[in-house]
Amino acid sequence: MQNLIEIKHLSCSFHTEDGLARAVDDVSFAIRPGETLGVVGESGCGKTVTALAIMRLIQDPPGKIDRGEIFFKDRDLLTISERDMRRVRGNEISMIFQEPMTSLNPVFTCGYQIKEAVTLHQKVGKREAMEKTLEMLRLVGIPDPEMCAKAYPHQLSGGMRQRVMIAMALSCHPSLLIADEPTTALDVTIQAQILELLQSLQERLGMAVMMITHDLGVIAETCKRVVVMYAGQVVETADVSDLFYDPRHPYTLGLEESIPRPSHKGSKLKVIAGRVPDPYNYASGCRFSARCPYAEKRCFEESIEMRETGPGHHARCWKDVTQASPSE
Amino acid sequence: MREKNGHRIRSVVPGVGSRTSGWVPVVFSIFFYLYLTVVITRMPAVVAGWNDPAGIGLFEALGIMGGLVALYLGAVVPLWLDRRPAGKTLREKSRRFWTNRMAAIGFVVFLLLASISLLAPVLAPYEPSAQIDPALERYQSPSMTHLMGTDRFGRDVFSRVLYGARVSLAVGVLSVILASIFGMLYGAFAGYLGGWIDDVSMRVVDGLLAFPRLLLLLTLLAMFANSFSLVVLVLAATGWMGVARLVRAEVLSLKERDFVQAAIATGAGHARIVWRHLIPNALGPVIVAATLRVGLIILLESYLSFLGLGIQPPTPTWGNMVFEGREVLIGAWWVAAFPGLAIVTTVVSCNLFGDGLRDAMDVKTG
Amino acid sequence: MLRRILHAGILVFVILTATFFVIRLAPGDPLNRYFSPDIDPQAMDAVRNQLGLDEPLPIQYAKTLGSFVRGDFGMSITEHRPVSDILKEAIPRTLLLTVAALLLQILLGVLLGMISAVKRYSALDKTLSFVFLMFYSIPSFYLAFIAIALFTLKLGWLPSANMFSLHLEPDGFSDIVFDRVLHMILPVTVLAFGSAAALARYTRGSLLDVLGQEFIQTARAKGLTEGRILWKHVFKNALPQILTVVGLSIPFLLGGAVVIEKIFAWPGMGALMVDSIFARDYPVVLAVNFIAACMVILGNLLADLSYAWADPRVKLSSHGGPAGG
Ligand SMILES: Nc1ncnc2c1ncn2[C@@H]1O[C@H](COP(=O)(O)OP(=O)(O)O)[C@@H](O)[C@H]1O
Ligand SMILES: [Mg+2]
Repeated sequence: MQNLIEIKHLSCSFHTEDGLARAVDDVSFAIRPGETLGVVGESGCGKTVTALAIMRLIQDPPGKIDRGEIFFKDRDLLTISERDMRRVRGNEISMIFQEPMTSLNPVFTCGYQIKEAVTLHQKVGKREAMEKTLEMLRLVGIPDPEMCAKAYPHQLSGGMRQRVMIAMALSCHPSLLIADEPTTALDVTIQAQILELLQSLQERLGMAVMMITHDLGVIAETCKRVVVMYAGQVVETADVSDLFYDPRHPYTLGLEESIPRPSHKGSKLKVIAGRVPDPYNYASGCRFSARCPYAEKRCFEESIEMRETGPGHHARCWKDVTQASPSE
Repeated sequence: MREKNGHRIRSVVPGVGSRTSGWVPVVFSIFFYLYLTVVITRMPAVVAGWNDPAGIGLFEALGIMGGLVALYLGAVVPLWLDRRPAGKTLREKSRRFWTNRMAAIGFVVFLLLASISLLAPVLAPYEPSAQIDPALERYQSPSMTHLMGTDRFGRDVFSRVLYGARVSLAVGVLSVILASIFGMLYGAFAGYLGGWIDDVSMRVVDGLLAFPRLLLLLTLLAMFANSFSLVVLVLAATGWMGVARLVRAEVLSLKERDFVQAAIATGAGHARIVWRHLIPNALGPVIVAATLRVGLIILLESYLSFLGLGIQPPTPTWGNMVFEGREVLIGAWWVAAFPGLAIVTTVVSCNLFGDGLRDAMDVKTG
Repeated sequence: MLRRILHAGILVFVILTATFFVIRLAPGDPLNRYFSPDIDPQAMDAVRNQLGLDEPLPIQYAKTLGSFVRGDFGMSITEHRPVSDILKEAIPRTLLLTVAALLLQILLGVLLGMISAVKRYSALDKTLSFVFLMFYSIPSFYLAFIAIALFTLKLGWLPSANMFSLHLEPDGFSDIVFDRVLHMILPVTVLAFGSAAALARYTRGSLLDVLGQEFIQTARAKGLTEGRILWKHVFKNALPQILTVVGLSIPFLLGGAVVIEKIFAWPGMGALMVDSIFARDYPVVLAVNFIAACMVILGNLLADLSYAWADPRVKLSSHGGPAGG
């Protein structure tokens, strides 16, 4: 099948007082139409920056897209004009953010903010735009759309606000929705509701979703394919079942071992020792080497390339971790 | 052992090894040596004029020495602090501050002005109010003998500008210190005690803030005889409200924090809690606000002098010097231009410095 | 809202009281100025009695309060006519000056602050920021002198004294207006510049604050143009704070008017204030302070109202605007 979006060799950096941060380094992956792709990794590994780069929303200064191509429906989003890009944003690619508390404008009503997106991208009159707004609010499961449309964000709960955000993002039926940790800031019960809502909407509207999270549980529930990121790089891409049952990168392995499971009750949880490397000065060699239990001399010296380990399964590790044993 | 010895020299002689502790001690060291040079080279003249009643008095000599001590401390104390763990953050902060080049320039200029004001008696080529020969010497344009020309009475404008720095800076610094201390206590107690006391105290602050300050100042000054100390007092009395608000807001948020709650729980007295816990923690924003306020006060003082209600002639203040130039704006532009320029330079440098300090310490002053 | 007005009323009362006692407890007798010391003490007492200066202070205070409520500010000691008559002439002139300056200040301050914020961290922004700082730090009398030296004395383009030309033979109403406007340019501009610079600094800061918030990213992700984001989303968020600062600038403008009116011989309240202070004309000083306080409080009330109008999160019933230092 044709890819909906294909990101190739994307690199982004931030120029700050403290120096140059290589936030995203040579990231490549693709999403097919209608598919849900999970992007997972510790906080600070460059997930948000990748998403913002797709939207071309990295603020310059301090940020910059240094290199790469982003093919979306056969156009390179990094070369089209700002005007054309604005027609893509909110219309063909939408994004929802982590913090529903701060991602809605406090001085406009929710209805106004949705309507604004509708009128911007669709040729509709005022009445129609309002109807469309209410319809979207109904679609995301808000019980009293009229009330909600008239409410200001601060009058709604976190879960409701996230629903409003979703309604806004989907109001123009985008073919790709980027959800940047949409449930991280919410209560657990609300989290499940929002994830369920996103899934059902995806089925109904037939869009692709890029689900960013640091929570493997969310990945397991919602995604088909997964990209694992570490320190600005992709370290593993695989189908969800392969990733969980046959991880090929020590980092992924470590992530999975750090999930609490009922079957392992009583046994001690493993955590990945050490800290995330500083994006301002990466050491040479594999970026995970300092924390990797399997690391050998080569890992500290050469930079490691992505390697195909099975059909549709790639990992940035030259060793076969399923065979190797920790080298300490 | 050598290591230890190195430390001893490092922390006694200004300039030695100070680079490692950021730029603040470096700047202070440079100023220290410049200042010292001026004092030493002009000393003979000072000593010679010791018995001259118009010469340098004891008070001024003390001021000059005080400046030297202050510069010395500025050059070495950061090094002492740096040997404690807290020194790291000091260095970090000063580094961030230095990256803001304008702020650093502001600091250097301010230090320069402060030195000049203390050294005025040894730097000024003429007595500030010496009327050498009004008929002959009046309204001379700037030249080598009179760097900034002379005024209506033939007085040397340059010397008067130097002496004017003392009034401006002294008024600015003293009244800001007074206002900050009072405002800090007021705001801390209002915020700490809370309830209706807080309500009423803040109403008072609102009321005073609502008043056009210049009018209030004029009224107060006009009604009492105006002297240096009165100007300082009145400026302080009308300037503490901002600090009070700032500290109160800070205290309100500090009060909820664990360590204060713990202190309350252990039954510490009100005064102790305010003094030991609240005020030290609210100090950062106050220092920033105070720095920014020095500029404002200097500006206000110049308005008062200009209107004839500040410190009275013949004591030179920049404000009354500009006023004296009002009738000769073109013919003898230097009479008003130089003191005015001095005001602008001083206020700009205070504001640059304060802005930089605010960014470096990352505080909001509203 | 009612509570607000009540507070404002109390405030005016407190200010009036404070001013009254400051003035009356201060040393110095207004009559000393107009009579030589060796005048017949009896004649002096007569004058004092006529002016009501011989009664006990509390009674004078009560009387003053009573007449202020009735809008009667007493007699001017120096001009021998009702203070309210003098004020009736002076207030409109000062209002003309300060309101014009206020408008110019808002226009310049908000516009330049916005430009600076939009072009943040560019060379233009840095230049503008420094210019703001300069004008913010320059005493208005110095700026006035520079302007007078340049535009009046050197170039001869603009008048720099009085409200109108003395020997103008008006050729219809429009000439009078033109003449007045010409006389206003320098004082209004000088008065406005300082506070415009302060406002611009503040506007820039609060716009940058808003620009850094997450909902701006949401707006961008919607596909809105930068212009629309700025004018609608950013501006409406920053507006309440900007309005507060505009409200706070009113006392500064009124204070600034004192200096400006003296320099430009503009016969308004400011000039009146200085003259009556030097003349120890108590009733006038008291009345001017009172009126100025009323204006400031009214201005702040308006600022509060517009704050509540601009920010849906603020309800009028809760008291206190944002804390400012
Ligand atoms: N505005 C910024 N300024 C400077 N550095 C930034 C900025 N935004 C992101 N970065 C850098 O990019 C890295 C990745 O950030 P991000 O993509 O937000 O991580 P996450 O995976 O948690 O979403 C961070 O570690 C940080 O160093
Ligand atoms: Mg993120």
